[in-house]
Amino acid sequence: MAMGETASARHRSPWAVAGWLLTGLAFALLAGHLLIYVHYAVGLMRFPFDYDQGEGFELVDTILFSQGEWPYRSSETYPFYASNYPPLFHVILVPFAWAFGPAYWYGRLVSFVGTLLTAGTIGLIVWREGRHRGVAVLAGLAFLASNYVYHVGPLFRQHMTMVLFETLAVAVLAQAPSIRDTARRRRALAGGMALLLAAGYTKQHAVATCAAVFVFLFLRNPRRAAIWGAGFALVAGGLFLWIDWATGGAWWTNIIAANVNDYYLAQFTGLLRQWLRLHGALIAVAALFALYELYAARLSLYTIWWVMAVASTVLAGKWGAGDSYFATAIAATCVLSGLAAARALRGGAPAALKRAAGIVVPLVYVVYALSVVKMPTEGRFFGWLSDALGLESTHGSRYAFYDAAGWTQGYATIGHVPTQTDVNNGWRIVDRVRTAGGPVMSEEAAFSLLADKDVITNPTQLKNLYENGLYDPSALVEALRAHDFAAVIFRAQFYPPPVLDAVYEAYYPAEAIPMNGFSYEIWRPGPPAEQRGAFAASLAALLPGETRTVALALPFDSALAWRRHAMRLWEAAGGKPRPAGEGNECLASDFSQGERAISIEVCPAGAETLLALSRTR
Amino acid sequence: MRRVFSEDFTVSKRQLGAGLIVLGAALLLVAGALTALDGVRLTAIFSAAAGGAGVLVGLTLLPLGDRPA
Repeated sequence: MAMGETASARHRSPWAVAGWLLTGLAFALLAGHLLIYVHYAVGLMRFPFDYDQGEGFELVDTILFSQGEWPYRSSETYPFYASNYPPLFHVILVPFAWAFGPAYWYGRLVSFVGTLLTAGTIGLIVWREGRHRGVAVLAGLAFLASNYVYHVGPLFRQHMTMVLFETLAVAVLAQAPSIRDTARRRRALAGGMALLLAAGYTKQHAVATCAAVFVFLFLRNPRRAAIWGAGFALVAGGLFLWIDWATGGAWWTNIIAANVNDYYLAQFTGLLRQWLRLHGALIAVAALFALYELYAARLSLYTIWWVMAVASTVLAGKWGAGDSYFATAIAATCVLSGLAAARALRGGAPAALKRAAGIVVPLVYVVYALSVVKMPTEGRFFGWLSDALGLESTHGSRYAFYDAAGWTQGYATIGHVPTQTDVNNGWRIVDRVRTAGGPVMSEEAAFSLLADKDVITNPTQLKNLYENGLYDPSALVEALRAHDFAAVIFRAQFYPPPVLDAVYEAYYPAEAIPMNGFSYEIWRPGPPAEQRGAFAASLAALLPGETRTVALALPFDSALAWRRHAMRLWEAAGGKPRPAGEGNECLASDFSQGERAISIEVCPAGAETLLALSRTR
Repeated sequence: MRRVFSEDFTVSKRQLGAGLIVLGAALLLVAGALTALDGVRLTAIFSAAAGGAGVLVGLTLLPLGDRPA
């Protein structure tokens, strides 16, 4: 039966037929989005490496908790690791870590199931308040169809578990003040507060939902808001102080002080425009419903939550933030638009208005479903479907994936399913780590975890701490200069500048292995510090016509690669290296910098290599 | 004040409007102070935008009287 039509009228009215068709189309499109989401989630759960930057460090946090250790610690001593996220998501995963060791699938599974539960909770709220099953299902499916939820939902990240706890807290607390029975009301309030606390201890961003809850309680009854607010502050603050005490102040440093990052207005405005374009159909309905409650009815927690969640998206402009910062606003938008739709269809509105709603409501969901299209563009089924729809990859040859969202600063370029080649190449990198004679400093944790080696550094956290004046990198810089690490693996070079400079000085890029659209560079130790110093001194002091020879404790091929890296600030002249020396066993190359021109001949000398530097101009 | 913290007190539309005006004005003052101290910065712009919106919405709520917010 079409939305808003009675059974007796369904065969007669052309409105009913149009409404029926649109409703069917809305369900079909949103169910299609759900299938694509499930396909993506299963694909990610089968991928054993980092898919999104930083996932591995959430796994490291989980492993540390499973061993009874805090991940909030000093980043200035070995292994130079600290976490910047609250503990709850990782603590929830501890039983999995005990049972299965370090693996990505269970974190992705829990996060994915969390999004399904969030969608179910959205549907339950709409059903409870609006008594319309069809709209309740559409509202839940709409949440899962969002490009942003799709992106982050099946990742080993805590964000969507926070959204789950937020949504559950709102579901419980929205009706709590209206419960007449005091004992039941108190139980509901206590349960809601516990869920709110869980959201905050999953991720700090839940602060907007906390504010919404207490504004709502204040409007309903300031006395109750003050009492419960004081209790909440006592428990949340007490927990905060206890963790800070237990970690010797590292909790405050890593969770709060290090999270003051640079702000990029263009990133926020770009994401805001994109969010409005993708979710505009639902946002317009939600905004109208919010205005209706503000001026013509009573403000519900759902509306206040929506306003606060939308306001909190301003934080998406921070360095390191992105589209996931809109996830709470999307959940609130789905709730509010669902409530508006359900009331328009079932409320006491005039018949003509209800009939119009029977068309408009499914049309809104159809427009929304067509706005958020994303899908793989290869594979037996998706290749055929994308061809039939005329959709091509929006990521060129990097990924076979179409995303109607396009791209803006801060929008994660993910969504594709990794290939078997990605998996094979990931294991190649693990092999490099396994065979390296010592610990490896990797920008992603997976390779070290799977090679059963120490995870060294959490790069973005080191960067956060450094930029806030909370990190002295000298110990790590010294370790790099002394070649304490058998290799360094870069993906995006998100380290503080002094750490990067130390790697550039003491290591050289020996190999690049592509995986999942990125080039993973494996840097090997260059010659010892005194030989690097001798080479630099010779380069600086060489006079025209003079030749100096430097011995490097590297085999010939490695010395060639190191020389290329060491001369990166010089302009290479004369094309490829040319054979030189007796028996043509050496290779010579020319370099110039301003007025100076230098020729370097690289010759094997047993286990070592000799570099002959000649200044030709 | 005793009435505000009574068991059955509920904030009205007019009181919510007044609250938003006061909060909005405070944010506008903060924006002005930040601009005077540090020039036009993003924090000041966001404060001014939120404060202005608060004052405007607050003014429109004042005529709605004692209906519960």
